Amino acid sequence: MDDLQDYLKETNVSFFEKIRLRKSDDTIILSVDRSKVAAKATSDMTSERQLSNLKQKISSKFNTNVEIIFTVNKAHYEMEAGFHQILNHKFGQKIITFFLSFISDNKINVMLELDSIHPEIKKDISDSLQTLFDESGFSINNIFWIDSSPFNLPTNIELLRLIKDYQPISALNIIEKLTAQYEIIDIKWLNRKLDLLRKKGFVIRQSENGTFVLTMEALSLIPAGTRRTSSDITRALAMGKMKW
Amino acid sequence: MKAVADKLTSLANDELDVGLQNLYGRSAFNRYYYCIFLVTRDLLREYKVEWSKSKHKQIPDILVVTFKKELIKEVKKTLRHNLVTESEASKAITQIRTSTAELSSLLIEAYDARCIADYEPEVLLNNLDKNLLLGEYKLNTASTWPSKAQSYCKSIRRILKDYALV
Repeated sequence: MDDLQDYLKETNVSFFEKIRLRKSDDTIILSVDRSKVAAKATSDMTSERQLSNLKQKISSKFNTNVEIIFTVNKAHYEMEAGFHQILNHKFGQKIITFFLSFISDNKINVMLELDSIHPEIKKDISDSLQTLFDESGFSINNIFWIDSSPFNLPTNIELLRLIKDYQPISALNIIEKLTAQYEIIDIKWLNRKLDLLRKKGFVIRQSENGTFVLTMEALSLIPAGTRRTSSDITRALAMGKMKW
Repeated sequence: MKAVADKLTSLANDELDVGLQNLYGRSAFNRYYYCIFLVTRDLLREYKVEWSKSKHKQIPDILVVTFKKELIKEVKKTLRHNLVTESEASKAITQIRTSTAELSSLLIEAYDARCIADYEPEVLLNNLDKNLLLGEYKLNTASTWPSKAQSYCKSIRRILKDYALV
């Protein structure tokens, strides 16, 4: 450990709070305060890239495993709990998850989950958060909504994958398959989507029966592979159940 | 697993005997770690079955290296074909980067706490103003690990679903 301390001194690395050896697996544990991590390394700040390079260098120089642990100070934890309470008080306990990830000392990612019934209050919550953080001297990098709400709509790629599984398939049958997951799908929305996908050259509407099939371009971009949930496997399974 | 960890935490908090408190507390750390390890392994298994056999220490690296790269590649492919907008793709990529990095950091931290709990009996649980600490790790903070891990997994699952990857 003394050699490591000397090496860090030689390389002017002073941002590790604590250095220790985990005896159970001979791993060097380097703790760094999240507030010392910035987008770019400077004389008294480090960056994710610098940490990753240092980890590799130390590991090969001392022929041992190295892990970096980010520590978050007490004030940050208290801030997370405090903001969660303020928002829940304002929005009637609708926020079930609220986490802050400190990218640097004053830059934050926010992760939020609402009870699924009130997706319309997202904007109000974002505005309130922006005000709260501005007043506290923090800036929001991103707000992530953890969303399992049935009010969402399927993405283009999800629609193409569903068509791949069941093609040739009619718009009505697509609706049938989607309503299990999405509550607010209607045929007008789907027809608009299918028309857009047709114009972009991803699906063809067969004139004889109005069913949809994929073009080669669409087939080439849908993720496939050998895993159990691969679209090739689900297609094969769906074909096995089809009545011809 | 979380229920067991929570029960052990409650026993540790209420226990007056220092020796027993130490045993309950360090077992709680162990269970909290396993809880988030299993939650993460389930996520990885849904995407790639062979990852379910990965060693504990490999999982944080899989998250921030291979898994992250593969997801971002799929998002970029979808963007190239104009199936998502630039802003949708950029948001998805940031979400992938943040969630995998946070989950990976959480696993490294929890694994370290679990190693102290299981293999360093000389490090005793400390009671500091009703906060139970094992080395640098607070038991109260450890009790938030499972919900954090589940949220990060949920956020990644959303991407997997939106980009038809599972």
